[in-house]
Amino acid sequence: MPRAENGVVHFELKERTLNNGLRVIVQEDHTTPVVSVHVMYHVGSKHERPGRTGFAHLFEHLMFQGSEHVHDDAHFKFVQDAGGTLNGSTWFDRTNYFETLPSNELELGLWLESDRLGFFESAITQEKLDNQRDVVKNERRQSYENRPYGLAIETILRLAYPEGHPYRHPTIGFMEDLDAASLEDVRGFFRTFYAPDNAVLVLVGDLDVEYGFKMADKYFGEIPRGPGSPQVTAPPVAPGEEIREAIYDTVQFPRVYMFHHAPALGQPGFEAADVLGFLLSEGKSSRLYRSLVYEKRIAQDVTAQVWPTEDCGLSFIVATARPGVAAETLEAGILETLAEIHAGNISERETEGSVNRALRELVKLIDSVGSRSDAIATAATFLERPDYVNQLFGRVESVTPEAVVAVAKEWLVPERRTTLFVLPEGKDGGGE
Amino acid sequence: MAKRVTVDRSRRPGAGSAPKITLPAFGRLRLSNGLNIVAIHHDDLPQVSSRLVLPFGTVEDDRDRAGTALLTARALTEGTEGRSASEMAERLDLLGGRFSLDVSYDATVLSLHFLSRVFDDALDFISQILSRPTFEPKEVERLRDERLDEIARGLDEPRIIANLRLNEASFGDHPYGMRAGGVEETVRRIDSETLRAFHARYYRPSEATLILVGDVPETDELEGGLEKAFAGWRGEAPLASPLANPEPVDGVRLWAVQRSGPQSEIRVGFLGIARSDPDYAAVSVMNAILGGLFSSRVNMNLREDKGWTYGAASRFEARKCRGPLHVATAVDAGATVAAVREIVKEMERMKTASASDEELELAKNALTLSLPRLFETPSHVSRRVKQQIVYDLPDDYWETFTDQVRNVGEADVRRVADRLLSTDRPAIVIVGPVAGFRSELDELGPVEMRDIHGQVVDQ
Repeated sequence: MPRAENGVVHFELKERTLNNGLRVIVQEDHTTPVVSVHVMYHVGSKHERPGRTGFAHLFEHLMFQGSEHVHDDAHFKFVQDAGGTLNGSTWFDRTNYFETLPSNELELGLWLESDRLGFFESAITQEKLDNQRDVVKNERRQSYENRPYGLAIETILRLAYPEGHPYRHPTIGFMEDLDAASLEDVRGFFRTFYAPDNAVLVLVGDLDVEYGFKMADKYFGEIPRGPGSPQVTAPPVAPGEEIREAIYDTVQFPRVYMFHHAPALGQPGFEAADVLGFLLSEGKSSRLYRSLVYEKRIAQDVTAQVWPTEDCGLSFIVATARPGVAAETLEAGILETLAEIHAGNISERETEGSVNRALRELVKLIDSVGSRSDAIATAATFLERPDYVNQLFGRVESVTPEAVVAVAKEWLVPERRTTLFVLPEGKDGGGE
Repeated sequence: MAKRVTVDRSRRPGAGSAPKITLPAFGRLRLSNGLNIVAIHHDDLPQVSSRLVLPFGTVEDDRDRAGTALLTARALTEGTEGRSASEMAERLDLLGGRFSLDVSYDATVLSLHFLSRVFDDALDFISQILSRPTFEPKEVERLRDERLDEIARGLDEPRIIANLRLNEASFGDHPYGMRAGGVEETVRRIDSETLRAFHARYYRPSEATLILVGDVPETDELEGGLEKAFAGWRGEAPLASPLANPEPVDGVRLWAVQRSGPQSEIRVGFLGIARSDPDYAAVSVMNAILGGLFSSRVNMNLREDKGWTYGAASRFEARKCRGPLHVATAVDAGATVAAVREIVKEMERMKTASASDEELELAKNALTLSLPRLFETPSHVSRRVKQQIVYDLPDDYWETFTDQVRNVGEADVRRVADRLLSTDRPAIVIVGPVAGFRSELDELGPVEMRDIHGQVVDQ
């Protein structure tokens, strides 16, 4: 096999739209005899109505509880029995369902996915809803309430976004809203958002392109178009006063969460913001790691990252204090580093390393058929441009030190900032 | 679009003919310094997943200084001859490499994932950290403090507390009962001399293997490059220390740790098997039926039937000696004792009630038909190969794995369940708001209250 040329990666993407509006994208890759079936619906937590937070995610759970031709607990069994793996996930802007299967089982994946889109309602029962509501409430307990610092992100969302903003609540939702969800809600949500014309189907792997389109049409083609799913756009938040708050948790060490509004996926500056994240915290030579963890020794860890959202972007700098270090000290350390970046104090070499690290993660993002189909479906859903996946390499590689400074000056500023301290219960945050 | 093919939705579509599974072909080399090389060409993305395997893990730690193997590995990148810690960090970050460590009981594995355009520099980096680390006292003290912070922080996490306590309850004084990265008291005793001595003894090429998977040069070019890169690394390593199998615990151990919160972490465990155990395939099938898959018995019971948890699973870790086998879950606090009873009941049922044909097929299919997927990317492949190296499995191991699993029968499943699931003497650990259900818990047997550090506390 020839050595690939200097990081240039290109995928041949073929796209067609079925008569019912379902967009189908196929990418052939015969490296390994596996295929990924990925369905992304353009509905997420931002589409939830007041009093029903967490509903999109609860609904995602119900999609695994059987449909007209797929017995109640058979969905997982069929996929695992075929040697496949599967899951689903819910985000602010979308919900996705995906399987990676041996390539001779492509039709199994299409049968399962089309049945729960076309023949879902007859299988839903109050008992299933009650059971999965309990499961999701336990998910909330396990992954948020009973996990150190687990409520920080939802607190930040509440502070950083104004009342009524679509990104103001977490995808897991709140207990009382989960309790309020009814079968009527389930049916209404399904009819509104789970329609072929509100979805994209991506097939990646060991399959022939034409065969992929033919099979997609065979299983999905007869499902009727929906009534038109109302889309929600989360509006950008105007710059204002910095927002600050402290909460208490069952933890020993203070942690600083510094949130900034940021560019959304695909918007100008998104790649620069991504590279800035690598420059700040990925690798031991990164700015914040070197300053806070290595030199000053005030932090146990630090991460900086931007989240890929459709509308307005979110970015987080998170650092945990070492024993005896106050949250204020840590915050001052982060601000000192941000001031250096604002002053334009970064080198070509430092940017080059950050770009290289970002490219490495990018290659990793698209190396398996499962994560590649996710990237393609996301680009198709958020940007209407699946080919964005092919532009990513060039976009990241062309990030300059000036672009990194510019994105920091535009976004990582007090007017865009929400700072949250998570402090040990019963203490003042000053440590010992 | 052409006329639609009609679809019969009433049954699962038939599978096409099974794809031929091509497992990676090992290119093996041995360098003049004794270093073993396994090179595997895989896919056409411009990346390489490399793993350097040393067959020495934390069981080689001096017990008073547990944590030595981990800190030695962590210190490799923190300064080498002629290059400070900062310079090494800059070098790695400029290359764009992702360096990570896995120091387990049985082995030390250093992984570097990089783009193939920096191939030669990446090899040089690996060679440099293996052969010329300096272990500067100031850097070692920093790493020691970081490890102490990490240990302290783990005590904020109920699931980590539960895992540590289960380990102690299952293995007692055996080296597998000691936390792999040491505990506060043992880590405090480690200094740069400790690490230097460990490195001098074990970081030698003769027992080591470098795995390279991905966009790797052809053999001739590769061999020349490797000889040059690793010329400065020399020496013979000793054999790994002999290790006796752990002894099963005598009687029930029911440990409870009081910690407020909405859920309880639950662990129910036993001694499992060694990787070389002839029952490995049968135990894999048994585990898949009990709790290894989403559709397994414990998850279907605790999650899909009762709704007590986000998930319940069993797993086993086959090591050089008998490793752990356990069920783990986190449940709504009010359901804690009932959940323990259900878990034990499912274990009993593995020994008494036959696995149905459907369960058996599901388990075997999930284990074997998944192979193409488990060898998809360079890092998938190198992870599998790493296991083969650490546990001395033949190069064609995965070619024979399918037949081994296929040959497991229902009687084998019951036999290994009977052998391993000693429900009369399990180690049970509960971390949660125990005070709220203490009297109910007492019905399970004599409860030993422990603090979050594992020390016995007053009832």
